[in-house]
Amino acid sequence: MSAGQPAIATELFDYERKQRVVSETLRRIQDVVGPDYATADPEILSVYSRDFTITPQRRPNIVVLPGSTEEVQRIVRIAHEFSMPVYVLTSGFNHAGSFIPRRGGIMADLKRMNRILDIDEESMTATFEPYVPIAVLYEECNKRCAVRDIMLRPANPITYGSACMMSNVLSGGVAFMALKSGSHAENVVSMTWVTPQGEILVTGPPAVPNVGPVPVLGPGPDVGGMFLGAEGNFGICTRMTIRLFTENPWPREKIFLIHPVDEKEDRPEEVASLFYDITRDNYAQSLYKGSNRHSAQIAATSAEDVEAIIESLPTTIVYCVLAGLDAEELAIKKRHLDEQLDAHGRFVEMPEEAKTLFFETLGKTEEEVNRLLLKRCYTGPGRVGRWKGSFQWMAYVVKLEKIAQLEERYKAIVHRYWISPDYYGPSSATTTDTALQGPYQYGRTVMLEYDFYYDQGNPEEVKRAALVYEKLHRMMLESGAVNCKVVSRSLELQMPRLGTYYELCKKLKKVMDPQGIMSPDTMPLMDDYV
Amino acid sequence: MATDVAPYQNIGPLEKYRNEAWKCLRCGLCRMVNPERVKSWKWSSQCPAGSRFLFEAYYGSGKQEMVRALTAHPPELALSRRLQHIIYTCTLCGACQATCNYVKDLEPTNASVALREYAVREGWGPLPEHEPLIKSILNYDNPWLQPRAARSRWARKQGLPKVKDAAKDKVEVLYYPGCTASYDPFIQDVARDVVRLLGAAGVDFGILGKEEICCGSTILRVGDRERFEIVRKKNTESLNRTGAGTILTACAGCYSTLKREYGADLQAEVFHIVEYIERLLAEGRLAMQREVRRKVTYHDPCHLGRYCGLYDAPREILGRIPGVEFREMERIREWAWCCGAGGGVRTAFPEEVATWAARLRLEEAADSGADTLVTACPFCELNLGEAARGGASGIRVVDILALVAEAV
Amino acid sequence: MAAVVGPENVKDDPGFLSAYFLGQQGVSGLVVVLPAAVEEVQGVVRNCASDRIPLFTTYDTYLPDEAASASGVVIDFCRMNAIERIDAKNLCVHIQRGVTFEQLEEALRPQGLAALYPAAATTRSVLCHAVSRGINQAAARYPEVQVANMQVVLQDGSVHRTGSHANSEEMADWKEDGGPNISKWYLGADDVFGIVVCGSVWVYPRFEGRYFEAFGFEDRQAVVALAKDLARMELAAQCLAMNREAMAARFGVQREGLSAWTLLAGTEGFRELAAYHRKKIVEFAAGAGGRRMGPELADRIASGMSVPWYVRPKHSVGFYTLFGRIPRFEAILEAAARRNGLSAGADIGMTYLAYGLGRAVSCRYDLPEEGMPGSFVAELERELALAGAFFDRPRGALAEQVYGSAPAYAAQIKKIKAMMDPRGIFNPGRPFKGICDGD
Repeated sequence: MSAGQPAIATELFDYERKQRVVSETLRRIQDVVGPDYATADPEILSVYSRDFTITPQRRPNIVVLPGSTEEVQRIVRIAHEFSMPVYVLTSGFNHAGSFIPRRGGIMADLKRMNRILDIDEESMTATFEPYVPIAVLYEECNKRCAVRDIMLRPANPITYGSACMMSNVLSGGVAFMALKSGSHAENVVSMTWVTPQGEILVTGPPAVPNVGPVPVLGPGPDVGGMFLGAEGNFGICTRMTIRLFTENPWPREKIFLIHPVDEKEDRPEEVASLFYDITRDNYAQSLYKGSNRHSAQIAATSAEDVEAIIESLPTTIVYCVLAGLDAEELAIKKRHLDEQLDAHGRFVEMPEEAKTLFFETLGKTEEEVNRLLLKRCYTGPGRVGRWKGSFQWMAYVVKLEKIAQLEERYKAIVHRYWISPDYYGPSSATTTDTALQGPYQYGRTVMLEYDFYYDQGNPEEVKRAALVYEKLHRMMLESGAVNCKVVSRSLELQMPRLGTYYELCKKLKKVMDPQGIMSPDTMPLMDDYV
Repeated sequence: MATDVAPYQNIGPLEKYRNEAWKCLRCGLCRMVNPERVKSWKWSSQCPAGSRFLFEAYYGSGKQEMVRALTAHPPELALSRRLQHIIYTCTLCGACQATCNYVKDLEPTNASVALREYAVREGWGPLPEHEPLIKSILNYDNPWLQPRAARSRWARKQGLPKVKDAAKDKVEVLYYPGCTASYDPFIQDVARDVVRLLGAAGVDFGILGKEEICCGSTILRVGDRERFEIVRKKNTESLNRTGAGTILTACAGCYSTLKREYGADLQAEVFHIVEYIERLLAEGRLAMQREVRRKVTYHDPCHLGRYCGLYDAPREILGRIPGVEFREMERIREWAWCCGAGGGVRTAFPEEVATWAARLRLEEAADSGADTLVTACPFCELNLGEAARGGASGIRVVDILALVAEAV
Repeated sequence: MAAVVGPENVKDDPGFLSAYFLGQQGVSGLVVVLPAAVEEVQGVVRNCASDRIPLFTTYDTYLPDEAASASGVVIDFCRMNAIERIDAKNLCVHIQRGVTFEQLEEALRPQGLAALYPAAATTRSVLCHAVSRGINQAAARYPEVQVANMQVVLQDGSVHRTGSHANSEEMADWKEDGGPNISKWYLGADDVFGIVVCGSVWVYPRFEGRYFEAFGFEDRQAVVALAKDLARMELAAQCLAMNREAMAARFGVQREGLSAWTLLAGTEGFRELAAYHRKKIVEFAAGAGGRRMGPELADRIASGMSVPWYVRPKHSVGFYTLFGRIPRFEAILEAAARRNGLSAGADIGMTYLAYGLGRAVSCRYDLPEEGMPGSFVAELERELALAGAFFDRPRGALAEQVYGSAPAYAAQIKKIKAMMDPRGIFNPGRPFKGICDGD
């Protein structure tokens, strides 16, 4: 058996022997976690075989629910002994088919590891286990104080509150307040990893005795970075400490809605220039560019509603969040925003009546919308996701000034291979949209997002999704952009383009996981990857 | 924004839910309290079976996936003991559907119901533990293997006003105690309180007594549509014969079954006692003047809350009882934690699921600062009360009517 | 080497070599090369790799003492001092390793830009300071990692372009890699995995509104608490507490007339916002009992905080901790000072700089020029580390102590080292002995 090739996972393997190995592995794993928490029952395995992405279905051979780092370690060692692949799952919500066990093996469902271990006001950090949903972490952090009446919170990603914070961080998710908080990777203080060879590694200052959660990098080389964006290829994370941020209470932290003077204008270069202006002066907390289509997705209660809402709202809607220590600071920032809008000349703030109407279509008050978006994080993909089901997106990091050229290319692809992005039809139609998430600090980069909604039960839509997805990935990569959040096909298409970096990753895989048992084929790292 | 597809509404064939399984995002909302409502880590779970067994298959999303796999061509799964366990450990509380409907049009609870009915049709359900109850209903009109003649013994308690026999005399309101209140000594006081309160309010009411027939909820919830239909037809005729324009019950299970499953065949309008008491209070026909000094929290029964949307009436009532200090638990209303008894779970998995879930609810009640957990469902009261008696929570479990009767 | 960099750029004269070490004379055994381009560095590395010749670089002004007795090649990047591109729109400069703070400041100022000023630089190189995660004066507001992309020469002579530059330098200057974030291991690594030769460093607009305030306090607890709070309220970009000795040394002011402690707070932003922040700082400082310094001192501080701060090698101890633990470490410092006939408060400059929105504090103890035993720093660092002070880039004996106490972490570094530098040529013995098998 050559390095990097799990003995069990090839189709050439003897089925009977494989079954014997599975049985023996299961027995050993049950010795670790107890019979209630490990099984090879097909009914259980079935549910771990697929998700809503375009990754094809594959069942694991064993599902195990470990309860501690030590149990994870013992399971990984058993997997190592039997050369059996290990895949990992927290909430299961992801955009890359991350947990689908492409080579079968063991599925480690980390649901039992669900504790928030510490929320430390002194260091403004939170330490937690894998299965802690984003909304739950937010709620607990928000009970703690940073200073005065300013409370703590994680930099909530723009995703479901029921998704888990740890996996979002590990896969490069984006915080709504990325303008202030930067990337998730910048805010990881420490992690505990069970490596593919069954060792336990703590990264960051807590690795050194008596130091505690001092939220600084080190000591020395930052060895934690390699685990971020690695899709479980270098181990299983069982604990994470992240930096927390401050939150001013309502109404001192508030969303302002901005749109082009010409409400039907859709000119990404103008949005880019507005973003440059605002970010340059470093006073906004968040910026996000959505659209009437996005809003209709959230607000519509029926397919018929959709057209009406699209018609009633501006094509481009920018969410700008300002926060202040007190009303005076908020007012100063707001005045500055107003001045910048005036000077820019092509954008205005949404009038109060229109804003109220907009919130009414969402069925919420302004305060509730603020709470939802800023504090509780996003609860769902909205109406189209509601009836379509699958929601795949991709996000590439680019300079603001590059957006316009990329949007043109995106539209060309969508018009040719999807349907027109201006068409938002009844439930049988597929749809797509774009957004700007981020930008990151000072507007140096922004995440350009493309969303796709389709029904996995409709083969034609799946074909279309897979095709457009591939074409868009290729277009973005050939344009020079880099994918920032792991999504379907992204790593497979991207990594081989990245030259020396890719070679280093492949080498690292051999070093860390010579048997290739950790999440094989989630990234194109192994010699036998096809 | 929820589409508000209630549980047990328009249950279709299994294939209907297969298409839905394709649309599941595996977002995990079915596992936890709505993220907009969640308040703490401790009380963030919402699925008893899922929280108990933790494998994905036990959650709403998992059961939808079961449907997809069973109905695939060729099927990816077959019915089995494990699948039985997955199907029948679900209390059908509807929580997964409530949170899912917040963002999607899926019906994971209804998919679980459809699975259950499919299992019965294929000979894999109901569970052996359920059979005695079903046979008892078919033979004795109650699930407790008790004689029909004993059904109205509760009404003969000394001091209780005489109750009209609705089988003989025409009444405006038929009080339908249901089997649990009729037979279970821990719950019979609920029925007595109803009698006292209706009497105090001057309501013209009666009971069917030994002529009363089980609503059939138990049979329905374990997936046996065919045998439920037998009971439903029989009971409908019995209820219609009384000529009463209003049927009143204090049992959430009976309420949701009579109101939603009996359809237009049932001529009377069905009310839960909390709705009726609220009306009586508003009309001044009942007055609560005596103080009841308790720190009280309210448990939303699934069949009253998620199934029928009745959340406010019991809170209104509790709010009007003098002396009561009302505190909400964290998981309330659509996001309430199920007591663990429903869906045949208390019968088939009493310790493994029902008592386990009840203990968690009692702990949550204690965390709210209450000393009394109030509910409006005899089955909840039974399960929670039993867990309270066997545990160390210090919480007393009572029906809402007990407090109302104390205050009147 | 001469063939790669030109004979005039290869030096082995002991007098020349000694300049690369502090307090060492008669250094021999080393050859200094001065490349001018990435390709030349590649050539040097290839040559050293093929012959297993140790390569030495430094992220400080001087090389470590241990290298003085080694033989090998020292790379001096002073000729690689090109500012390749200033991207004013996207606030990023692309520079070679030899670019200094002063040089960069001169290039940026006409464009209304500035890089962050270091608070404790051990090097004049902008890139080295950034890659070694050097602390900046504005650490209260801005993140510690100010470098986005790097070009790293690897042992086989190839160049690893990190972050989004692996695909294109045009589309974005994004620091995260397009997969596992391995490039982070170059940060704080002292080139043990590869030699960082170029990088993209963040720059900032020079705001109209930029104000500095200084307040005197007698009570250290009050000033430190205020520094933390001001950082958390996001009022100050620069937020630090300095004792009398540190103030005198840094700003050249007379000790008399200074309070025991001074809070320094800098605000920056558009004018109205910066003025508001300033107003609030004054309010809070007054509320905490601070005595506002006069305009002359404030002006001196303002100009003193618009330049890089350098530390004196071997006379400065810096570490990170949490605000609440400061007393613990001050007690250790005081005890160590007393053992050597000093008073911490009177003789040692103490600076507490709010870091990362006030989540932590960068502590710096600056020792007197004279009268300190040679072992004082090492002993102090050892005691501080044992008590939980976090040294993010430990060297020498401290490194042995820190990495020795985190064996799994050290083992992981060794694994990466074995992969990246199998011949063990890059800065052998760093960050700790035994990083390479056979070391």
